[in-house]
Amino acid sequence: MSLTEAQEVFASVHEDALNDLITAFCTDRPRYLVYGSPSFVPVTTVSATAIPAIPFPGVPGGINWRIVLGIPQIDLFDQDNALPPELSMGPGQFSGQIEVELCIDCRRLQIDPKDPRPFDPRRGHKPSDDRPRDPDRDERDHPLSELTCFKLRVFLLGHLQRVIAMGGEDAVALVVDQVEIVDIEPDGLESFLECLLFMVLQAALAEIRLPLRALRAGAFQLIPVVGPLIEDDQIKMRGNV
Amino acid sequence: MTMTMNDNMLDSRALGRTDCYAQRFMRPGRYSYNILPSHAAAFNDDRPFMIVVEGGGKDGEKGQKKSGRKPEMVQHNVIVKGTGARFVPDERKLTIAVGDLVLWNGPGAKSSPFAVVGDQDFFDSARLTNECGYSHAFGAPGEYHWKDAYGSKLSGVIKVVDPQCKCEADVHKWRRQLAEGSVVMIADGKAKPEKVEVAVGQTVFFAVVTTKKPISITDERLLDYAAPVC
Amino acid sequence: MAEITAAIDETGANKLLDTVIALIPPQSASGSDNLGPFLASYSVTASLVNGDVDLIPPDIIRLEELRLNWSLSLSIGIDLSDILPDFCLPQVCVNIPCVGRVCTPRICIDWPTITVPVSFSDFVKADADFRLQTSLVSGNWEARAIIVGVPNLQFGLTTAALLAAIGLALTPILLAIPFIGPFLAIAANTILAAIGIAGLTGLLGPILTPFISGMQIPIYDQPRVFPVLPAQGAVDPQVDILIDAIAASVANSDGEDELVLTADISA
Repeated sequence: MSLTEAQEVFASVHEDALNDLITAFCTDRPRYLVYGSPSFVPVTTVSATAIPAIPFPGVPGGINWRIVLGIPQIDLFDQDNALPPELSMGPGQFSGQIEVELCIDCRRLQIDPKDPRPFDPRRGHKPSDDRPRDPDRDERDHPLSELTCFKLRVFLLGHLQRVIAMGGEDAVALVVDQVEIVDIEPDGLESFLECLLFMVLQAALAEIRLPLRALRAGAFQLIPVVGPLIEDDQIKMRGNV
Repeated sequence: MTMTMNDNMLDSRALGRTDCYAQRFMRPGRYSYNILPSHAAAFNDDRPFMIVVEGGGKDGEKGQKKSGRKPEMVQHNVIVKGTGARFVPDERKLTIAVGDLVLWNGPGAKSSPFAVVGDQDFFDSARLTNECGYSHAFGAPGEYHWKDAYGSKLSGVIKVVDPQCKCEADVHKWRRQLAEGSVVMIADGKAKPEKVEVAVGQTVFFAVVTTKKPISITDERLLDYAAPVC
Repeated sequence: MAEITAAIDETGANKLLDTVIALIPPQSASGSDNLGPFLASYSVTASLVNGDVDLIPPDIIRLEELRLNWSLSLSIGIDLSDILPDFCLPQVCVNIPCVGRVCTPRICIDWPTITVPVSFSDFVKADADFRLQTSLVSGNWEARAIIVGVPNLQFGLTTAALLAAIGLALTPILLAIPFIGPFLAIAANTILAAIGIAGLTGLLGPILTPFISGMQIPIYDQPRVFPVLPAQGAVDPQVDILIDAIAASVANSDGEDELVLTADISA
């Protein structure tokens, strides 16, 4: 078969080039990989995106957390990289591996000896400076504030979706269909984390919108008719001038 | 060299390469003159060239009349050479006899129109008076309505026709025609004939016998845009 | 395997080159050259219109019937003395009553040099082969199709039409020359015969050939630092990749010829 087949123009990008494009995106705009609540990321910058803390009654300022994603490594069908047995890549799909680091700002809370006050949803509970403390006990059982992190290697399956990039250009985005974390017990915890990361990765990867123009390095004008398709380790598009 | 219609305008005040100015000298004497660019006589008083008229006795014409002999007119041709605005005759001093005719022609390819300006009123190609003439060979077909640029009623028409040469015989015939000239006599404020028909290339000689005031033979189209003259 | 591949078939290449060639701005030239025995100064403006594209492996784009539309302003200097016989008005004698016989001298006419302005527009078609070539120029990757050899321009009926236009422009100019009337036909015929088809071909060929012989068709032109996404606010800077290499070729697969561009990139 010819490259263009029944169309006039053909364009393809190999998974190596796709990974270069994703790396370029993530290197130039690292904030799409780093998300943190105010104690980690007070404001959104080029380096990180600010997200709210997880509110919880009695936790002043809520539970602060951070999630740092590694640059995803994408393998376009045909499969080249090994996947956990739970994942099976089919035609038209891609797989990916990504390092994820989750951190939480673990803090000791002081209990207020006074009468419990009704919960004011507008103010929340605030520790009172005049409440007595037991400094010995504080230091003995748990530090006042401790950064607690862990890293996971996450496997994922997904497909491509045509989207519009900012500026109105035709683009593709990576849609995550399934996430797998290997060997975490109990199973419920694994499922929990998988669900959390499924949602996080869906949202994060959807932001990496790669214009079709970039996928063909600016060569030839192409109005897509067929594709983008994933096959032969490439994203392929066919269309007309 | 370029030549345009302007080189072939009918205007006795501005002699071109196909024009001639003729002046008869009826009295002995020394007549100095200059050859100047047309319309420039007032800017130059030099009269470096001369016509010396000899003979005819002390009282000239009167003597000839007494004797009853009509003088035999001799024609002298003066060739004007010119470059730009400078003109010289081929003979700076020409000696002639009383009653002779001098004819100036300037065939110089690179010269602009000129006038022969003498030191006496009757001797001026731009202001034709008595016993003089102006000839013009017509280069293009058309009707040439001529007038006196100095305002007299004098006028006439020269109709110039295309010889319509279609073959060599026609060209031969036309060339023979060129040697035949036509004459318009101007006397007492009238031109006879008023209308003349010639072929392209033919010459018309305007013979000025007498005029009360100086005249010119000027294509009236030139007067449409030229400044008034006095 | 190339990281990025783009290919276009002959139909697409036709459309692409239609656009690309139409974007090549009109070119102009001026100068002077011989037109038969005469000297002509000229100014010419030419623009190109794409022909039929034939892709020939491994690296040739053949344009059949590439069309060059041209507009020519000619100014032909003709010294009529060179082509017309010497001509003199004979001596003319007239008899003036009471005066006598007066004769004008023989007066010879110098034929002038005339300038004949001619404006003429037409087109010429040529077949031309272009070879693909890629290069990195001033930080830009370029793929160009560069003409191979000098095409032979066939002017055909153009020269006859131009000769007729010269004749048309010549007549009123000749008519304004005094005494030329009977020589008009001789002059016009002699001038047109002196110029001739060969004279026009000899002028038009060297004037117009450079418009095609120097022709380059831009196929690809992108910066080496290739912008993937523009800056979108303070926290989203521009995203770039590096284009490390470009190659252009014509490939045949399954009987179809395609113009293929490949690129290797890095983050």
